[in-house]
Amino acid sequence: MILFKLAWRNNWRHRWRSALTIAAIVFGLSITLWGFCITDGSHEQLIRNSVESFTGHLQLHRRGYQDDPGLRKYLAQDSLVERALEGRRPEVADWGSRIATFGLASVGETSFSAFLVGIEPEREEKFIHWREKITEGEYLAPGDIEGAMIGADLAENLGVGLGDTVIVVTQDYYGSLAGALRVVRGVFRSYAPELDRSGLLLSLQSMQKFLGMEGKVSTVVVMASSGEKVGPLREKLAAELAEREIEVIPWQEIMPDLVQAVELDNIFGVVTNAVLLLVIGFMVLNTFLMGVMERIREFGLMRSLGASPGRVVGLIALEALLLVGLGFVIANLIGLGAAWYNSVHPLDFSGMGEEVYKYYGMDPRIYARIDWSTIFYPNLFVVVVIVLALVFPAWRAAGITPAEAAARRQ
Amino acid sequence: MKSFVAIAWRNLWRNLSRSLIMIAGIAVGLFGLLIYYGISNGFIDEMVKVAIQNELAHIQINRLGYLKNPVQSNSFAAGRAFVDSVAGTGGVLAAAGRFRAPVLVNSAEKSSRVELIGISPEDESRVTTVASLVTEGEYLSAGDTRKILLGGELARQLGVGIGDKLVVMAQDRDNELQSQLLRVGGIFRSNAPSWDKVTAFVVLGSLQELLNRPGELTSVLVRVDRQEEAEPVRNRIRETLAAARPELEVRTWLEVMPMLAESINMFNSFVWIFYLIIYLAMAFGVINIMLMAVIDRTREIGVMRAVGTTPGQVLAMVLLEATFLGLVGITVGGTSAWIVNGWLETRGLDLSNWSGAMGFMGISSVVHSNIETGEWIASLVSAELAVVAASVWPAWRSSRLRPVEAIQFQ
Repeated sequence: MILFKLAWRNNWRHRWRSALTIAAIVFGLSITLWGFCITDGSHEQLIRNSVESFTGHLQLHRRGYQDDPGLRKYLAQDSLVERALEGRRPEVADWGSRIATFGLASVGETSFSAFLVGIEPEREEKFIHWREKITEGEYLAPGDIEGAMIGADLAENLGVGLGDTVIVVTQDYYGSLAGALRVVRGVFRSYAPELDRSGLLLSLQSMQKFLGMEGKVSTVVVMASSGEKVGPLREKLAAELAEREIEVIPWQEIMPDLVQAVELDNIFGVVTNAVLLLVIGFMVLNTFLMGVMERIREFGLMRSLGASPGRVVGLIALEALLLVGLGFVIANLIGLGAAWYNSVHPLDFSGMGEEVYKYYGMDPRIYARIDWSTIFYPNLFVVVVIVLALVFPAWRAAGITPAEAAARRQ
Repeated sequence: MKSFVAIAWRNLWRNLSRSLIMIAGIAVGLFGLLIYYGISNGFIDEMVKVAIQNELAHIQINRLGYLKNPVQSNSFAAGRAFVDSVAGTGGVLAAAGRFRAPVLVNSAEKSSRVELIGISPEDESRVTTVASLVTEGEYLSAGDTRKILLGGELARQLGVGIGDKLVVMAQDRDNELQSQLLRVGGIFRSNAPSWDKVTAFVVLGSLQELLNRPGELTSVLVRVDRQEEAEPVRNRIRETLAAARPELEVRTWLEVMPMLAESINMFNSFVWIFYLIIYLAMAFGVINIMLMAVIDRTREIGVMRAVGTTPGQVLAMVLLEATFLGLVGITVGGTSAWIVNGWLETRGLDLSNWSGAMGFMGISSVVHSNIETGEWIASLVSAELAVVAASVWPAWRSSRLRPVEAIQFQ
């Protein structure tokens, strides 16, 4: 208890120094905490947008489709896959089958290349939420053979509106040229710029008929009940379906660029924050070291009165703890408070780079995300820096002998 | 005054460890800032270079409205004479006409949507770097009317190699679906797989023939000597075209792709924010150490004042000490950054582990740092100013000491 009192009073002896040190820790740590929450939020948003725009958590194909897609690599639309997926509920939240291929969409004298996707409207609505993405018109009805939904940019480029007819041309299952007329039922805008520029959605039945693929699909898209369940679910499904020559691909492998971009951004974030916290660390080291150097006589006196070196080190550590502990509390309050504010009121980058965000299919309004990792790692890093900053001063203080102290004039 | 310079310099070294720690803090901060700055500039340079060299060129001439709605019918009549006259404009290094159309390319069993670009091979090689990107087979030559140059990623997807046959399908001027058999003459690979996946080149004449649009172009690309000349040269071309061809617009690469300009601004904003944060962190350290220094010397300053030193001289002495502190820290940090940055400039920072993410941004995996002379000077000078500014308050405080009280300070 006496140690605690001593430590508290010592910090008060140098009010300015203590206040500055606390302020620096608060500054560095709160910025890092807030920054981590913002970056993490933006990454989560980016991944969620991509997964929920189109990709889903997992995709099932015939083995080899992922590396080299083609209509010939199909899955039979039978009960086996269905049973495997239904048997995995509730880990499997939703799923739906698709056929995807490229074609040409033309209207009047303009034609554009199109990404043709046949979807199961009812199933897919549950996890892709197409209805929310519709800017005009209506969603596809399940049995709709003639209808199509079209990406907003493709619609603009083709100059089509609701009720207009689009000519679709592509290679069918047998490799011969197939053409069809489809009526625009709805226009959509998603977070996938690629899909807005070229997407043309048909019902699965319509697509199967068009391509001569009755009873066949190219992909089954699966949504897990949560992001963390994706890994285990994949393993279980892969094991169950391995004999059927079916591959189970997680979103990370479908969008490796995205995973890498997030990783690279994280590395930049860690490195820049490390520079900041190191600069702060040197300052803290100075405060600690001065706290020892100007009290050599005092420590010498303590030692000659019978205090062990450990007790001296303990006093120093306690002083440091009181000082930085206060800094930690305030920094976490400010940093996480700001992050919490931004988790409700997003940080808006649209003034700064609207085109950039649009180009990469991102929402310029970034919501912060507070997670154990965004709290833990910045705090851990600062703890490490402070402990390192404490080592030399503590070692120096422990080595002070009464004789040395007495020899010092001051 | 000379003696105050000497006193300040000596004062700096009186408490060796304290000064060295602060110098290390300044050096680490500045080092981090400069390296980050260099790499950030490297990213920008690479993005701009790739965009200009492959796709945009420095200046583009299009029909009004083409950029918003890039359809065939937004082409313009322009023969050899037109391209030559543009090439002859003062400041223009070379010019090349292009016709660009979305088509469907079919191999034996697969089809893919492609942006097919008709080029005049010789002109093109003087404006863009496409010719140098060819990794298999050969670049096009004027007589290769039945050959196609494919992006590497596209060739992989279609499952074709050199000499294989492809059918190109497109809608012509009269909305008739036309197709043409071509052979793969070459394969190119740029730094951006996403671009390679959707791009192919043919000789201009054969695309014009296929689409029944003889003598028409969708754009003329212009190359100038240096990036900075893009604007004046654009103005010159505008002037000459204004009267004769009012339907055309002339734009620099920044105007063609506002997303690039925004990216540059964003990268730069992040650099400024980082500078601000690190300078503030350094400032905490400098205030701390200078405050300790003047408090330690309260008695001494009191004596100096008592023997006739003016407050202004005390202020100058403390500011000078901080100036020296900054100079030493900046020399250490600047020199080490100079060495590392020089290495990163010639060798480059190899990020090939994240090549997917880099391709996502359209750049190669090796980023070469770049800091211009002016940027060096601005960084070093601003760091010094930040250090001196942080010492103003401690200096002012020490200059206001009252001699009688200060002398009695224990």
